[in-house]
Amino acid sequence: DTAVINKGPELLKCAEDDDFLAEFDKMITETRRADVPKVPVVDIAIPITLRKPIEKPATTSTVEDKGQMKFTVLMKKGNKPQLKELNVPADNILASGLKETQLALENE
Amino acid sequence: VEFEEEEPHPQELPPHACKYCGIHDPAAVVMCNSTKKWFCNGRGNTSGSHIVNHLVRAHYHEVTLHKEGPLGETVLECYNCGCKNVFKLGFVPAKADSVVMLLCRLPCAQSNSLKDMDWNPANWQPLIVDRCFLPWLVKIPTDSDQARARQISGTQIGKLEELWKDDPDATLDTLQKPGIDEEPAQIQLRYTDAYQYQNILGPLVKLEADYDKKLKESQTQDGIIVRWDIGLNQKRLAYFNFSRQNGDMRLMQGDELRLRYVGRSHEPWNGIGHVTKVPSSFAEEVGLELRSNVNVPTSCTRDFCVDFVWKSTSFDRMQNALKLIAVDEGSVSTYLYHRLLGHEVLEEPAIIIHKQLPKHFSAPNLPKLNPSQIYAVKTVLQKPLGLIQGPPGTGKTVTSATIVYHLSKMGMGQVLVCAPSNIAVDQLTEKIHKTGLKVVRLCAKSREAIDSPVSFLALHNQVIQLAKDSYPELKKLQQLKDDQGELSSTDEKRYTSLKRQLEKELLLGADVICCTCVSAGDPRLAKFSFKMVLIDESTQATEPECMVPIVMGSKQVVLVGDHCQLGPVIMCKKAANARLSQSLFERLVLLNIKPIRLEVQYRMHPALTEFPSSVFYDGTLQNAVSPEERRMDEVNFPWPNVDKPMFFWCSFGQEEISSSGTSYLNRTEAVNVEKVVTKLMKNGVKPVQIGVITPYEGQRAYVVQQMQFNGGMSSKLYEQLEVASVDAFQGREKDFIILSCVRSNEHQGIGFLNDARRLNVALTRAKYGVIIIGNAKVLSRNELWHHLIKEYQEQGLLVEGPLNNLRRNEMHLSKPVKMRK
Ligand SMILES: [Zn+2]
Ligand SMILES: [Zn+2]
Ligand SMILES: [Zn+2]
Repeated sequence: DTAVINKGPELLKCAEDDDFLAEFDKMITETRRADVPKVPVVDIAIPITLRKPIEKPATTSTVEDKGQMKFTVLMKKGNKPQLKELNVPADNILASGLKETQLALENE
Repeated sequence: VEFEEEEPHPQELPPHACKYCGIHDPAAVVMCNSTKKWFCNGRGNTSGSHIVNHLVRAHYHEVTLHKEGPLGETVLECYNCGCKNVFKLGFVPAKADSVVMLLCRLPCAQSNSLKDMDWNPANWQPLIVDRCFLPWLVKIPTDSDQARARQISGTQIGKLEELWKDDPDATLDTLQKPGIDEEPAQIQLRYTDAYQYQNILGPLVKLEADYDKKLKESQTQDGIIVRWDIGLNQKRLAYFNFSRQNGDMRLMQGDELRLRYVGRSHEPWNGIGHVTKVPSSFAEEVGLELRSNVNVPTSCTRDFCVDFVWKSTSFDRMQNALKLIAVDEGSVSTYLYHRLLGHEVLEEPAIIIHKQLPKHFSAPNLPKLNPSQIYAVKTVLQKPLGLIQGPPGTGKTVTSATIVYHLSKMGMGQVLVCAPSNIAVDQLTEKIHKTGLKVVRLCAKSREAIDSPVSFLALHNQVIQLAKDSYPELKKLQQLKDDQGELSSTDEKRYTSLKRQLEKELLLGADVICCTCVSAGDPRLAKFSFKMVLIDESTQATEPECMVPIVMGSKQVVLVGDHCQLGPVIMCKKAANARLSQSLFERLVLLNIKPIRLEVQYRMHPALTEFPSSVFYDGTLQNAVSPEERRMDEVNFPWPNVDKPMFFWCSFGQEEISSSGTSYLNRTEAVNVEKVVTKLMKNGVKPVQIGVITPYEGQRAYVVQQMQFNGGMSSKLYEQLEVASVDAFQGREKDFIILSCVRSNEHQGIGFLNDARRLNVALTRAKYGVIIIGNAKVLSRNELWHHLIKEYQEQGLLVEGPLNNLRRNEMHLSKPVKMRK
């Protein structure tokens, strides 16, 4: 296609947007309140099928080339664990954290 | 049984489209669980993404991902406690595996026991960052997707959320809908996006449609006397007089009328048919081809009624086109999208549409192009959006046909060629066919019976021909249908399916498909896509009409026309005032897209070119014809100056209101028209060479009557002469033109004649001579007419007195009043 340049959308300040920002901050603050009842965290196991030897992250190399890493998301369907794949940018804290661990393991 | 194909339903936004902006990429939208409304993860012009805006403003916290997104249909929740508040949720990675899960910030992610497991809660990352969902979980629409989507401000979002509290089904349109009595929104030069475009043009198309419906449905006439006949195709024909009560109303070939029998000599009957013959200057008779021959009361001739059958098809197609450009990304290229909406395209794209320009610009079997035509062809071939202005007689059709020829040879697929009128489409089709390209002329079903010079190229005729040559089964069924008038339902089904198959085959095999703008929306073209579109006479189409062919996937659009000649006719005053009468071509010119002008004219005697050229075309028109080629020495006519075959004949008769009460006439002028016509004919000019132009229906009827009853020659001769409005002469030429201006009122305006474009068209129809008959004193109060009359006066061409003894008029001309726009 004949690509044309376009400026992305730009922020238009208005009173309603300021209200939104204030309201948003309020909602986030609420989520940080520490006086929530404790909920026990029982052992959350990573399904065996996902455990791979951690020598080299060879399986992830193809996506990693494009600055992405393939992750598996652990979810619940009803009460059963369910797995879905998801690409996470390689520079994201989730991915970089994992890489650090891998490096540390290799160095050991 | 007549099979009418169902029109495809206009495309709607899918249910998962963002309720704010319309974006509907499944990977980029999220549903609010409480309202079941979907929103995208783009921020548009606000500080947070649309979904976050909605959740915050409406105080909701729970969402579901789309089933076609990367995680499938998923309610986002904490893996441990099931908490669904997205403002609390975040991802926790495993320590040593590429595994993540969602946990709420508090208490689950803070739990001490987590650290002893395989997880790394220190790297917990919130789901909402920077007031958007994590972009790798929910895609953020690209800048160009967002720029193309409906633009909605924070203020509008606030209003919409308020509205939803009372009416959950309210839309942005509800917000923008004006009250019933309000004037519709005006056409703009630029539009923020296609939604705004649709929101402004859509209601105007609706207004015009409503007006058209009302007008046509009010045309019922009774006391009709019918003359019956049988057509060559064995179909029943009815001829009758359908007088023009309303001057505005123009009956067209292909219009549908219902004929009803209301007498007592036969059981009640009614039948629908298509108009195949329209009234001419001298005959009011209408020809109607009935759809069905069954039970027609041909024994009766009296006691019939006629109703107009109004159809919304054309208007529906325009509305659909307006919708498509907003909803369907494939409808036009991104570049055209922005240009059409009047956006500044930041960078002139180095678009190389076609790798190679042709070596020779003239097309086979068409006249060799002149330099100005070559320049036009060459330029538009290299542009994604090209405008060509073709002043009168400058070879617009040849130029258009040549462009189509080259476009077709570029190997980018089929070319779609349109014009607003069937006549213009036929003329262009004929020229394109000459170049050797494979052309299919698609006609509306209602016009299949109407003959034209390119009938053999019409799809329905090509189907019949192909069936004859190589599809014996269809040929047999067609024969049966023609003979019996109808088929059994099994046969009819088979017939229709075979026909459709052949239609498709022919359409797919064509290099070029030609049809009117609205016919581009024909269901038979529904699955087709055209990268290249040329629209001829585009200045006579409304903008929504032009959009019908453009939204079929175009990447390159060529608009040909002349915004200095008449524009589209809008009947509804409200819609006209909101400037629906402005063509797309005109708006693009106002947006500084410079049209390429064809400058060499082949029609008029050079003397006739001077005024139009200087007033309408910056003096650029050049003459390819010499005065000698436009001189009829055998015609002995009292021109005041033989080298300048034109004059303004002062006529001071009074104008009157016509008997219908809605029009004007001027008896003195009518008498003078007859004198000029008779003089020309006595000198050997044939009636078909003469055209009489008058802006009013009342005068048209009176001139016709005057010639019939008081003409100096046989009334048969006068019948071959064409007397019509300026509009009817647009795009055509005559050897001699007589213009009767009618208005002669000291106090009121000059009505129709006020439109400069109308004057331009009237003055540029003649090849050999122009005679204007009017009240110079009254007309010269108008700035433009003042200019014209003064020029005539200075050249000794403003005259008065009897035709065989014309004297110069030296009157002092009234001062012009500034023209009102
Ligand atoms: Zn949105
Ligand atoms: Zn939790
Ligand atoms: Zn734009």
